[in-house]
Amino acid sequence: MKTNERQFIIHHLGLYYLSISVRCLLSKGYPLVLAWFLLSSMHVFAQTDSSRALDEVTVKTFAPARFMAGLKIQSIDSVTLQQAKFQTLADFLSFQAPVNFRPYGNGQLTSIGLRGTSSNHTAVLWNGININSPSTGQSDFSTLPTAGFDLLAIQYGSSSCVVGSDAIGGSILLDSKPTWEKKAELSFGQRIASFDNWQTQLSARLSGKRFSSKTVFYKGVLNNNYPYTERNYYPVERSTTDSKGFIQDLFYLTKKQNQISLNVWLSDNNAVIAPQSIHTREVLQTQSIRVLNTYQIKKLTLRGGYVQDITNFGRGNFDKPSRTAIDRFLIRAEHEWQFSKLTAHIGTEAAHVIAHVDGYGGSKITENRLDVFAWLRYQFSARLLATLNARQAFVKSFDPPLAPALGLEYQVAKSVRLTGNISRSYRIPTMNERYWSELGDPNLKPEDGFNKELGINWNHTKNDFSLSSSLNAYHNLINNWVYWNPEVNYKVQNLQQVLAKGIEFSQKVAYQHKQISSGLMANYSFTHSSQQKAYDIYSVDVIGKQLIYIPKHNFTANLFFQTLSFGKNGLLKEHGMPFRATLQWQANSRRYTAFDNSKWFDGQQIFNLIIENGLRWKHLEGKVFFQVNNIFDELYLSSKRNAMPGRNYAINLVLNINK
Amino acid sequence: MNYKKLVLLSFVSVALFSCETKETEPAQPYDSGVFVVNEGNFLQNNGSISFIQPDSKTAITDVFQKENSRPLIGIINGYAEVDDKGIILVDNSTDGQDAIEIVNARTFKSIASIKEVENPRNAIKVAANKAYVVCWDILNPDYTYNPGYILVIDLLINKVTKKITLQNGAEGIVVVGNEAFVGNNPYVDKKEISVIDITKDEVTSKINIKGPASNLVLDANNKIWCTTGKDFLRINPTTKAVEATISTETATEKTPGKLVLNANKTTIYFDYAHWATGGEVYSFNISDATISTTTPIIKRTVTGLGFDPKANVIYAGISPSYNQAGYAFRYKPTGELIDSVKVELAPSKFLFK
Repeated sequence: MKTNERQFIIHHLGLYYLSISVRCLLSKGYPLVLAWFLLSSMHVFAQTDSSRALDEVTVKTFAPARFMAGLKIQSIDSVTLQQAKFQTLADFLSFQAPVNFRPYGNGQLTSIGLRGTSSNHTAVLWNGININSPSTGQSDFSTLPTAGFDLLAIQYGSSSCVVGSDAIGGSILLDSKPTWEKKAELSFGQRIASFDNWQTQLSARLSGKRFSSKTVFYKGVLNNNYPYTERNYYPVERSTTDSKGFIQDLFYLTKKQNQISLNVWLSDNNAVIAPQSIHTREVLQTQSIRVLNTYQIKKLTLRGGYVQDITNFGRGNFDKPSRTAIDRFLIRAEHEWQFSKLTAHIGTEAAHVIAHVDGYGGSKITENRLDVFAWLRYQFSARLLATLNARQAFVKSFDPPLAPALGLEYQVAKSVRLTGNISRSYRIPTMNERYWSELGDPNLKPEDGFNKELGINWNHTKNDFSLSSSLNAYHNLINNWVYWNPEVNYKVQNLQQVLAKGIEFSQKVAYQHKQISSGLMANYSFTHSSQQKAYDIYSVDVIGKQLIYIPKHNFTANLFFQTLSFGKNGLLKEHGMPFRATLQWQANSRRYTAFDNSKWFDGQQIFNLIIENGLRWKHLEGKVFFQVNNIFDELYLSSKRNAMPGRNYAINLVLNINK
Repeated sequence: MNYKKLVLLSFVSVALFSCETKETEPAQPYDSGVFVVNEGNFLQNNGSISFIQPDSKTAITDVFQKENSRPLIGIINGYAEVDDKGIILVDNSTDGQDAIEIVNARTFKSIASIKEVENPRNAIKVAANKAYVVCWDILNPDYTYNPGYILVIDLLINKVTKKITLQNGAEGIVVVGNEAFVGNNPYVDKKEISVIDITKDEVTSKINIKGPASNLVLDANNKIWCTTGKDFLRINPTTKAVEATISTETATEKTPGKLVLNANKTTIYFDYAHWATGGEVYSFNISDATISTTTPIIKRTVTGLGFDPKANVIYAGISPSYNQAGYAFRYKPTGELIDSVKVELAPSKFLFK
């Protein structure tokens, strides 16, 4: 680690690694949370005896999505999610959708980019609450395990009116889903992978007609013992990642169909760069506590949440790390009314944020935020649906703009649907941008986006085939884009205006005949995202140029083949589980790494293969996944211009006991 | 055939003949011109070397990649030539990934790579086929400096033959006769210049001074000039005595840096800047008793400074940001702007040949 002091400051400045007072998972809050959880679960289990048949259970998932007419939402199916249960969201999503991830290395900090926007323009919602760090305004996708959620969806485009701040490029929706049937399942999973990397998961699901519980423990160690130190002259950086976590979801349905739920997610991630160099290794610790308590009483939903994010970055023996600790307390109340064809949803959310960040000059910063929102959904006819939403956020000392949105969906024909959405979105500048000593500016304006989009969807089913395609085009103009301006010594300014526009095409083909099914899901996106306004004499070299790390062309494809069992009789016929082979492909064109596009990483394409099979015996089922990543040993680079790993292998064993 | 074509033809034939007659050793692409060291962006490890051919208004970018089909991966701290060999100092953001790349200075084709190096800062010729590379070594976890060192490189075998331990934060070197003088990074609390006997490759003495000595250069009288804080020092390498201390103004927080000499080594140009407020370029004559910073030669914050002795032109590296190609602005010695050439990220050093 090195030389240029100013550049060093800038980087740690936090664009990414930020921090605060050293408190860890075992700080005061944790035993309380645990006690709360234990009490709640005892309470819920005590109720199970009295369970009785309930008439229709109407628990909606992704409820806010109902108010996103005209927006593109890509839901990931549970089979795919199950296959990827040992992957991080970053590794997984990059093969599912036109999402740009920027990894600093294998198992290292990885930020997201949706629709030509930067890493703090994607909201990450966990059970409806934004879990982006208030200090950086982004999430590290290398610390989000796929195993943690039951439902995963990518929502493309601006949705601030529904989601709130950050949702300028889109949002990632992670939800827990209850199971309302009598079921008990214990699952153990072990992954053994190349480079001495392994992961273990233990989960238990217990559910009845009135309650549902899911408990997950996960732990992973990436030793990244590569057998090479460079690939095609690019260094392969040594790093290790140690991650662990605990998830508990509890849902309880009262006799009157009111729902109480508790969601807890604790995670602890430790990434070490250059671990071989005991004096100069870099250590990034990320810990979080996320607790959410929801009461759904008829059409009223009340939520209370607590989120703690701790990020410590240090070197060597980790004596004096730079620390970030942020606590957030949330309260949210929503009510919905149904008047014939009109659904009205009104809500408010209040948050109290306490930030201890070394970089803010030592003093504690507290902040109160209030959001009010109103959403309307009107089903004009079977063919025409409209949503009209608005949100107003209030933050001390400045107010983000009112964010309205209008969405329309029109079924032109049985198989063809047209969609359109127009919306204003915003991003409240991160606490780093506002409070970082000397460089931050508390008087920054919120970023302000204006997004227009149109789409056409086509679905067709014939015989054993089903086909669906979608084509979406968007135009998103973002004003007051926050920029760490080198001209004024990297002080933060609302300098830029960015125009992100593009086209997305996706195609699904599915075939099913008797025991065989097969399918292809492919996505292509064209993205042009560029700075529009001159702010100094050198910006002529930058205007109109593609923003860094955003490829113009991005492709993903997943092709699978599945057969229910092998053999007409015998062991496999009797005990065999589906055999499934999946080929994944991700490709993108060149990614520029300099604002004037004078430097770039070449385009790349990566193929993965996953083969899955298993055996079932009574209540026991065992599955084996064999995975080859980067089959053709493609050279691709991390943000630090190091080579990412070449071809590597993994075997996942999953053992389930069902009752 | 008209007159113009005739003239053209005669030029072409003269050119062809003249080439043929000289062709004992073929001309190589990098025989004459300007190498620009582009530092690159920290953590993107994308430094590079550009080349500006004589009379050209454009630069050939990333010549190492061009000639070797492989990249330099790090920020680039320096480039020096020793007997037709070029030494490139590559500083990667991760420990253990730094390198010294040795190339043919005329073709830029790679000859060797030395990986056992941490934070190389300067390279210099000390004798025929012998180079010193001054290094910081790895920094401590709190970014303080360890004792630095010199790697002695034998360019006949392209290997390190000796490691000479130096003071913390060693940086900046000049050679006078059989001795090399090594100063310091300005942020290190060291008040000495190490004197090395280049025939024995040993530190033989120290010159004590008032603070860390940075930006060492050698003038027409073979006197060493360096800076410490806001002061310029002139040191007699024979007596090892500080002959003169000239202070700059005290009203600002700016400090002098990036010292370069004109062709006859009588004028020193320097950058006078502070990291938060930027700076300008000034000059003084080596016989001056005072140094004025009232009338700048170049009214810009520069990331690099050089003087082309053949063309009598000042080169200033201008970097809009570390994420966008910078420019080499060319000035007459009076400060009159001639033109600019777009180079790469953060142009910081120049080598003229």
